[in-house]
Amino acid sequence: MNDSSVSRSEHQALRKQVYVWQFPVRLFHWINALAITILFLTGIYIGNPILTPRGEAYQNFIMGQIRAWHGIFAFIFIANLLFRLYWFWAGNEYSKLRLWRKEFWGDLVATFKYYTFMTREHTLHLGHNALAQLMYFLFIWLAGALMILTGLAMRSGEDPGGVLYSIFGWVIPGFRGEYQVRNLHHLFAWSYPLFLLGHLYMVFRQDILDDDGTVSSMINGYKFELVGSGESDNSSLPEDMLSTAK
Amino acid sequence: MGKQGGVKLPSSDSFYRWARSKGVTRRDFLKFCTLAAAMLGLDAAAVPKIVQALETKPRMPVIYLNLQECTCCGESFLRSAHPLVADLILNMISLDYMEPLMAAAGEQAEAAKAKTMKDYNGKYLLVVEGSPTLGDGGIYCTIGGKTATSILEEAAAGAAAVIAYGSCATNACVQGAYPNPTQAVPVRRVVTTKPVIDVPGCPPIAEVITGTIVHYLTFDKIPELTNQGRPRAFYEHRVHDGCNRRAFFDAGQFVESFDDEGAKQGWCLYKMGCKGPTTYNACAVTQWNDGVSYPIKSGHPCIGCSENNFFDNTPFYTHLADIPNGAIGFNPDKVGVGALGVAGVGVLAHAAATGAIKGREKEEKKGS
Repeated sequence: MNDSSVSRSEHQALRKQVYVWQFPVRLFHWINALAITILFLTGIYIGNPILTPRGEAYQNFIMGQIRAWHGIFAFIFIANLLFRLYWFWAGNEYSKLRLWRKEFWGDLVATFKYYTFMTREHTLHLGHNALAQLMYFLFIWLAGALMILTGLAMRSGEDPGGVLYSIFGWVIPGFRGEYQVRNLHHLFAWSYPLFLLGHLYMVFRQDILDDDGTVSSMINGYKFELVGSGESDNSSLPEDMLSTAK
Repeated sequence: MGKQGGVKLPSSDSFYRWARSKGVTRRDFLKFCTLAAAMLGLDAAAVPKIVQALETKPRMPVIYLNLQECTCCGESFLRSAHPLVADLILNMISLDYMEPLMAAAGEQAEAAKAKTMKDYNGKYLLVVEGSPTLGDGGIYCTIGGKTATSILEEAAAGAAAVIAYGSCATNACVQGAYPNPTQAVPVRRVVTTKPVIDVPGCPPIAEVITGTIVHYLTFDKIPELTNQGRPRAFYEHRVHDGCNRRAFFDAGQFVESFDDEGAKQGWCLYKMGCKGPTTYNACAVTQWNDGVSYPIKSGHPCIGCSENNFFDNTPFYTHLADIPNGAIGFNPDKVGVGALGVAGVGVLAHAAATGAIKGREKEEKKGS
């Protein structure tokens, strides 16, 4: 990618391969990505149906199909998030989100300074830095919760008295009517492409600047840490870890 | 809640006796009871209960207030669809006070109301059409020298239950739209100590109020309400859920303008601003004027008149997704694309800065 290829062997010797993203985390990531993409596209169509099929109503079922897929992927999205909640507890160190820690807020300031070019080097993380964690919290968890609440509240109207209705029926009077619920659902949907843009930019930027395998790590799970930078605990390196680097 | 049994009245005051004296046959009376049960979504077992209630219980005293409103609800109330219902419903109750209908006027009328409130304290049903106003001490709506709000408070104090009839009473409707100069408020805001049943709509379907009264008379309690405080039998579904144009919605066939081919074919009015998908009402099922039609069936998009603040969720003829969001004042898609554009420029700028600054840093490193 750049002139670091000149010293690739040297570079490899200086780096340690660390297993960061466990398989369930990676699986969650890609299911989440797929679900959000489909939910966003079908959702925008439901809001603005642009296709106009000819013929009789019984010959077509476009809106019906799209609403059905929107619902199916909504439940996949929800189940996936629930699984990820479990994995915060069950997963490794890098899978956790700890906004309540003091170090988190210190790191947030340091990371902000790095991204605004006020400092040269960023704090060392194999997992997510504080800013990334905060963004996931806002865009995936908080926005996700709002989308799920408003979405399921609207769905539950199809079966008043049903299970969903008994759980989410309070949402519609809570927003003083379904109109506002629908409008907020539509508005907050736009946070996802916004997040995607920032996410992709930051990931590729990190990979290019630090050459640490950020992009490929979401496929194979490995990141490459500079030896002696020391976030991972074992400073003495096993031989086999030095040898392979994809 | 008041017990009807507590009031001692001659049995000639029961609805059945009254109806018989007017020449209604028993057969017609039973038909009416069956109809009322069906309207309320009750099963056949409820019919004998209704029959018994109407045979034995005294006619229910009802006070009907007209506050800040346009009387469209009263007009709708008088047009209960089935002739039998239309003829009988007003008489099933003892409508002791209703300004547009009563023969008495002035002092005489007010005296009749006062008498009912005194004689049936805690037992009469209060139906309120129109909203109380709070602005400047409530001076924007006064009747007989009293403010609408004080009239409501006074009448509600002795009522068994209050039916807020029409959108004015449930959500302040047109006069409650921004900027709401008279500070019109829903009945619920003023009446806090009595059960309030919301029957929204501008106007509501007549069967809803007759059904609600029959229910109260039969079971001595208010009907089951939805999570928005409305009788479940009528308001649990969206207009969209039972719409006769729903097949076109699911097919993806939408009217694009009022004179296009789709409009002639009776396609879905979603893109013409139909609020059916967010409106909880019985229009599509009960329909209007003896089941003749309802707005969407006759080619007009639903304006969502039974929903809170429907007059602020406008324009009426603009597609739902294109209406400026009430909270932020912009169309959500425009906000989204705009934010994405700004973020895109930000990313490009940051990437350029990164390239320049990190490049320089690298040069410096090499140099040193």
